[in-house]
Amino acid sequence: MNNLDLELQELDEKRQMRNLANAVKLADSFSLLFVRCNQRPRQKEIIKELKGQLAEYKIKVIFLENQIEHLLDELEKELGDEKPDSVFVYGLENSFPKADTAAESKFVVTLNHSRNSFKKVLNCPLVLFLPEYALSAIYHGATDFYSIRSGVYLFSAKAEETEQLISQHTSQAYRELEGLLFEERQNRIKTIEELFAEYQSLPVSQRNLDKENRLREKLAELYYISGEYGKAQNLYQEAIEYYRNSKDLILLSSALNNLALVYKNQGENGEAINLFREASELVKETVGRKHPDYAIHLNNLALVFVNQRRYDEAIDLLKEVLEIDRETIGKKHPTYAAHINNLASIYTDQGKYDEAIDLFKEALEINRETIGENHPVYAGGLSNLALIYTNQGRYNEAANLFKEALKIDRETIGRKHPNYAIHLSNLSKLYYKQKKYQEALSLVEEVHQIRLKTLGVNHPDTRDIKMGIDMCRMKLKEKASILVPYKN
Amino acid sequence: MDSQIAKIYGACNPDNPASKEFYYDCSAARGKNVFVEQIKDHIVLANASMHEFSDAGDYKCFLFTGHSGCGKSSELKRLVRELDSYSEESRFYPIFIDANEYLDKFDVTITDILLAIATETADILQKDESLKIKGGYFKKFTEKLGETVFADWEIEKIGVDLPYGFPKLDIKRLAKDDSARKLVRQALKDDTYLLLREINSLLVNARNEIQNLAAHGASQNYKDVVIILDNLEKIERFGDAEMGLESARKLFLNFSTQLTAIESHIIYTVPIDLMRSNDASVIGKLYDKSFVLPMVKVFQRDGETPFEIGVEAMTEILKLRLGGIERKAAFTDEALDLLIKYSGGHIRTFLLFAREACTDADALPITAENVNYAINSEYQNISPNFFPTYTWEVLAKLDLSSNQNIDVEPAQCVEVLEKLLLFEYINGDDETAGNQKPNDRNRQTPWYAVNPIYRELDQFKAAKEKLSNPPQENTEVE
Repeated sequence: MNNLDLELQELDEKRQMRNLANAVKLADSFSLLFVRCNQRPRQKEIIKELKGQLAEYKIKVIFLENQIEHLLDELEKELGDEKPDSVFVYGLENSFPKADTAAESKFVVTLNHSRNSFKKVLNCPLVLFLPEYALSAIYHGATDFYSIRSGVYLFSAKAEETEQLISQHTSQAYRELEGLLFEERQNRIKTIEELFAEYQSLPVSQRNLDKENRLREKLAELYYISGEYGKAQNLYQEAIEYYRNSKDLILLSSALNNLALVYKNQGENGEAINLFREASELVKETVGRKHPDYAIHLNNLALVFVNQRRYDEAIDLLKEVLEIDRETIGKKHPTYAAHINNLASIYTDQGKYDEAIDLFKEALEINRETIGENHPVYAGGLSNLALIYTNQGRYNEAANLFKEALKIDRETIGRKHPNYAIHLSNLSKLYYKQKKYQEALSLVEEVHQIRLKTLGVNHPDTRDIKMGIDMCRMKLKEKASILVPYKN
Repeated sequence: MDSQIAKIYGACNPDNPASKEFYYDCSAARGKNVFVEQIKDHIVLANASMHEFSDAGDYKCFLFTGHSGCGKSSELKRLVRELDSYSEESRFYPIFIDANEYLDKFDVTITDILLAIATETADILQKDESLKIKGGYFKKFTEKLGETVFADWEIEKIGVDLPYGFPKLDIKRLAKDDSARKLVRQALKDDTYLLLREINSLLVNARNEIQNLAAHGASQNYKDVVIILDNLEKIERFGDAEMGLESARKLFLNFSTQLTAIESHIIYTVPIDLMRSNDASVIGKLYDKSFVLPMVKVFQRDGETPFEIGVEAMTEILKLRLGGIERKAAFTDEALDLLIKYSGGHIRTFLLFAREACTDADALPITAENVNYAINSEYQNISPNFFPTYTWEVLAKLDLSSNQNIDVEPAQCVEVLEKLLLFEYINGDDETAGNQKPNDRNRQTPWYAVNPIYRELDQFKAAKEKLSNPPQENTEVE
């Protein structure tokens, strides 16, 4: 005997992949293979890659979305009469979601009993994709089941990778997220939801709670952008709780601000005002009032005052905001543009059209230079300008601007977004003024559908638009009755 | 893909106990621990004396243990073949019961165990067409269960389909059905004694039949029945005891009366941590004899010097699995060396490594490089998070101690044994092992070594380092 020693080496993922594929090819009967991989999105990539390497093999992929008790029963149900060459299963950890009790969960315990029955049901390799904590649970809770394995394949099991993914997903700014195409954002939400769930399922020792909270806030932000206010509200409240404990005041102020925005968009102005005030006070106490964050909170507070038609208070606040902006971020900044827009909107409401138009044009110019034209914020600016033209009776100019704004919306925020609904509703009002009731009706109906889903049936905006529908219908009836005699 | 690799991959499936064609007798490498022969001798002897000196049965109750995956079931299967085969002295009628099929290992009571024994014993006996056992054994019980638990089950009707016994499939179903199991226990809760008596009565009848088979044309009579209850060591929770060792204690200590009351030679498998715990001496008094199957010794106690007999045994095990393929054509010498060394003589690990090496190879022979990668793959998957932090210190202490008398919680010691972090070996009459006095006691004293793959872990190395260089005490300077 040569007495060779084991040479420790890093695992090469390509080789792991190839060997895993080989293990599937080599098996002529039941065999059990574990793939240890902490990231669900990564698991899916591996499955895809494996299926590519096993192109001539019939692979049945099963995702266990819900909590189950008997893996074998579930496999029997899923397979029916199918006779695949291999079965891949992921999502098992959904059945024992809590790391500390996983080993005693019903699911893990029954795995062990049924270990001898798997080969009666399956005559092919069974590949289970699991995060580390789940594999540990099986190792401890279903030792016999674990012991009949023919291999465990490790793919980047390090918690740092989850964190890397987290920073990758949390690094995008709000405006970038808002600018995502509708489909892209839905996918992003799904990815972050999975990442978040998976991160929460890691053993506590491996969890970086700061990062986890950042992920939580990013998810809340995405919900907010998509108009899913209920989900956003819950997550922001958790985030605030976390920052109150960690005493991170700047992050706390930003979370308070974000929660206030959620309230504001749901029409809960009182709650929103309290939160914005708390947020701005926190910033003032920690970094002073010459700070962009302070300006942001004041601006938001001003917007709630606008909702309440407290215009003078709002204008005073916004003037203070613009002054701080000029001293901190400068004039060539989308945030400065946004604040100008807000001031202009108040002038519009007050009928001071000329002052408003100048400000809107200034804002559009800044946005064109900074974020570009294919952006929902730019669309918002167009829509604002168009509103004034509408009020001035410049209908054709207004209609063109609205249509341009809606086109940008469809390409960026999608057709289910509250902002898209606002722009649609603006255009419908224009049509109404032009007595194009049929066109107006189809738009307000669409707006109504969106608001039912985003704001709920009892929201004032939803009720407003319902009234719009009634008015259009009434006008159409009047028109019809006028037309009828001519027909005969 | 090389079809021969697929053949090796299939043959090295560690899932099943070795069948006759794959069985290799490693007893010389397990410290001359000829378990099968010893048990058979004990049984033969007991039977001989029984008939000469008394009417009452002198039935032996044995305990059998060893590391999970070290070859216990393979040895028991071989025992079954040996007992049942013709020999000059005698043959025995084996009843092999796999406890896994009947028990929910997280929820077991003595009733469940007796029910498993009764069901399987009756089933085997009545399926044997050479036996003509009559009498409605267990009828009282099945009637009782039929009224309550099995009322709406589609059960095999005892008395219609079967002359006696329990509906086997339905009893097996209890392993998966908590609520039915509770009902059965409730229905039979006062019947443990009756159940035992009925089992024994069936065994008396069976004995009469098997001892007179020759009169009905069979070539040889059986001397007696031997019941083997395999996988009983897997029980995690017995009654309301704590999980693990506590549960094993409760079953094998508190219920030894019931376990030994079956009037037949019987072998139970027990967990290795129980046999190496402080309770071992008490258990020794309660049962007739216990056997521990150690690892195949592949190296000496220094962990370095190979033990040729063990190395040869592992090689033979692999050769049997290779079928027609020449060993050197399948695995290079270096590949085989690595496989053996890092298996530590644990057969399931050995086959698992061989199997994983197959997936890394493009063509035969499988090289040391392939094996190295396979072991690495397993090694990287050992997550230190899987084990409590004291584990590494316990292992390091054992590794550094010359007499392996170490100062830690016995519970921690037996835990590492049970989790396969630590392997048990016996020198037997290995002359090269440095047995100072080649007496039986020395030869059969077990020694322990850390599972070779865990020796590579940083946590283990660090613990060892720390223990070998204790930090110097700082003397205060004024």
